[in-house]
Amino acid sequence: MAFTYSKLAEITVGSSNTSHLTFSNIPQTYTDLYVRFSTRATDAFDYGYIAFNDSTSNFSGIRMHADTSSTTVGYQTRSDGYIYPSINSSGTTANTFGLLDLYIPNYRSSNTKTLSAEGFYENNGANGMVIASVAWANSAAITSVSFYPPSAGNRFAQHTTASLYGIRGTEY
Amino acid sequence: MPTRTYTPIESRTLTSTTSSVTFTSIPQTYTDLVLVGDFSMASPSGTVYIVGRVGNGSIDTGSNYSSTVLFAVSSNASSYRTSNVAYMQYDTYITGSNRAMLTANFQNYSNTTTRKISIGRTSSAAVNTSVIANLWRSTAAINQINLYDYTGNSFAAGSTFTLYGIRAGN
Repeated sequence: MAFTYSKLAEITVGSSNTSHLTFSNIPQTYTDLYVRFSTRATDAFDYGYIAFNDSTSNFSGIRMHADTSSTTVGYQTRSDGYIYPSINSSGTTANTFGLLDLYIPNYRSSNTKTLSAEGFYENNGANGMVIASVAWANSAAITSVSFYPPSAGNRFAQHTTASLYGIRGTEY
Repeated sequence: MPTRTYTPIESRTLTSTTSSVTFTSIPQTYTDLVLVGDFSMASPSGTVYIVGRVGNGSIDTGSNYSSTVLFAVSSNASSYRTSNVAYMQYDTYITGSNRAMLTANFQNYSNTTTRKISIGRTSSAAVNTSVIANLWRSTAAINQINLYDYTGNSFAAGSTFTLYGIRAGN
């Protein structure tokens, strides 16, 4: 039986940690993609970068964020796939993981891909959240989705997970 | 056999410029609806604002909507409210030929007991990002949904809009 909303792949980070979370060889038979990351870092970083097809180029975006260091909502325009904040860093409450959701409509389209991103981390009194819009100005279909920490040497901690879903816009 | 819980009801890819997109005869057999749009505008000049309306039997064009919007646009993050207006905000600012996306969730759309809430999320990269709560002050079931540009622009050919139904259980 065919399903509209299908889980395509899942990543669970083991004891050796990992330098990035990547879904490759994404089937080209769906309409939209939905990706959910549940992440914790092995060191002191709470943000990462999105990449499509192993490229961090041709991204732009605007994000609105809030965190406990400020009573006002901040905003920022970007020329990359930077998503802050969305990861529980190593110094936050133990066994607590941040969340990042990406919704990518028409990922196979030859148009610029516009996606929404929502993320947060929670630390029992200190937290951050973000909503963002991101565009990838590339005519290629998306065949891989990655989430990278900010620097080489940073790693996602054990028990970090990522799930990729495909959504069909029509019955088949 | 497992029951499908997230079902595409109707999908539209515009083949020409279209001033308004309306879904009618929406089945009343789901619990929630999700509308996903991926679009650009036909003759972009300045900023456009995407708004929506709903109805039962016909689109309600009365001043029966209100919205609360949290948004960031270019150089400002802020919020605003509307009351007693004739449309729901989807607060999608599009400039030039930029593409935008929106998702609109309509919870419990088919009941005839509660007024209808819609939670919206819009993105137009490098221009704006928004989250919106909309209220239609009617207890009627929703069987029509309409989207258009408040400034009078039209959606470009190639824009897509898909309506999904979600069942809460078998």
